[in-house]
Amino acid sequence: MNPQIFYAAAALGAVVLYLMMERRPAPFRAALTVAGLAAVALILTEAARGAPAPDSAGANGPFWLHVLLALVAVTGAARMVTHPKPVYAALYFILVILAVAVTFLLLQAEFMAFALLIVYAGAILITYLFVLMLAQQAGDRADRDQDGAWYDRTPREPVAALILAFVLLAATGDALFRREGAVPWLASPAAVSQANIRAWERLEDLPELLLKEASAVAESKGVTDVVALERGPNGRALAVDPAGTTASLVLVGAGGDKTHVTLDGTAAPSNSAALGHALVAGFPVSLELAGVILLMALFGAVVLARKQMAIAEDERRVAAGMARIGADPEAADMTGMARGGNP
Amino acid sequence: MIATPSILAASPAPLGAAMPANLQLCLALSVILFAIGLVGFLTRRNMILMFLSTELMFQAAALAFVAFGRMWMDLSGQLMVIFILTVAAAEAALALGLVVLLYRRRETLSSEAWADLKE
Repeated sequence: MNPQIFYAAAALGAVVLYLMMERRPAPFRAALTVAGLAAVALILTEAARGAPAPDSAGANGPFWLHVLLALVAVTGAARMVTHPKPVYAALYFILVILAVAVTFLLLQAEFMAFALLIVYAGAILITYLFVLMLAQQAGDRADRDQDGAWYDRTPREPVAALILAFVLLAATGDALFRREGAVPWLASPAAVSQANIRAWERLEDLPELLLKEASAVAESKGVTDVVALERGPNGRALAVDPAGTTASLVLVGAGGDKTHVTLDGTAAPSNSAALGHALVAGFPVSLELAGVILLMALFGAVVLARKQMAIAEDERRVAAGMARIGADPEAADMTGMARGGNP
Repeated sequence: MIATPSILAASPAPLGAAMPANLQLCLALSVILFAIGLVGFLTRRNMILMFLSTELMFQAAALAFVAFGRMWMDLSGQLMVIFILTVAAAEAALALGLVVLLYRRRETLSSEAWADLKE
């Protein structure tokens, strides 16, 4: 990247964000939008300098889709932190989530894309909107007029916050993008074949899926009576070629006849199957901890939101098994003895 | 003949070949979103929107995790996002419970209403 252009674009973005924090007339807002989008596009192109050119197969096609989604996400985020109406801010955050989810799809994280939509846009954001509307129904308060509350229109320390964000952006951009190729565009071929071999090992760990996929391939060859896989001396059924693109195995039929089958990438577990396997096999303790965190959050939320009741001292004494104040002192002494106190 | 985009084509290898992951774009987007989330957390006075800005920073972190996971063709990045979602959900539940509690006391969402805690 060219540091001067990168820093200038980041500074332009910071200035645009500052100007967005107050309500502006319409033509000025349009100019701001153009300047902001230009700043983001400049940052992205500076970050992406040295990208391989799109090849004939369109392998680099998602590049412009990534740029478009980034513009949508940054627009939504900027409006979210500057919009004077909280409900609109929450809705703009949903726009950010949509753009990030589609970016996840482009990054082959299909399960996480939909989990993000369901959990964030579907659950967390609805909770936020619910609390926002709950808190806003008192509409005629002193700190509030028809444009909303003063505290939603007035930013706090915008200049200091934007300087901090500019320094963060400039420093991170410098660390990540200064040397072209510091963050590689392509995984190395060795890393790719390693990852593919790991994917075949994952299929090996799921024997039912493996048998199903292999039987499907065998059926296309006319063999329908497959009963088992033949395992090698090391207990593995799959023989993976060094590049990790294909794997072959031997199926045993009902009559003991053997069929040689070669699987290609379509037989590998889908993203969600592979993710579930990796989660349960690789991070079982973290998974349990995540469950504990959710349970504790549930308890905490119930304790926080519960209505505090004022309990009179008399009732508290009754609840603790003590006599009421002013009751028969004999009875009070008896309870004291029963609980092991001094008579 | 129309070329099929490689993201749609059935790939011969389990994870597909190394295709340009557009990692730089995703990282740049992640950094920008994090910076905007930081600005939102510092400049907003509405307590709910302050917490919403932290959710934006969570998104940025999740995007960086998934992008690096794609880079190394490893699922650990996506697994981290599952845990980020868990923490974000727990944080939203607790934070909003806290906000409701504070709103009942002072009848306002402004964080300035609680500024006297520091004096």
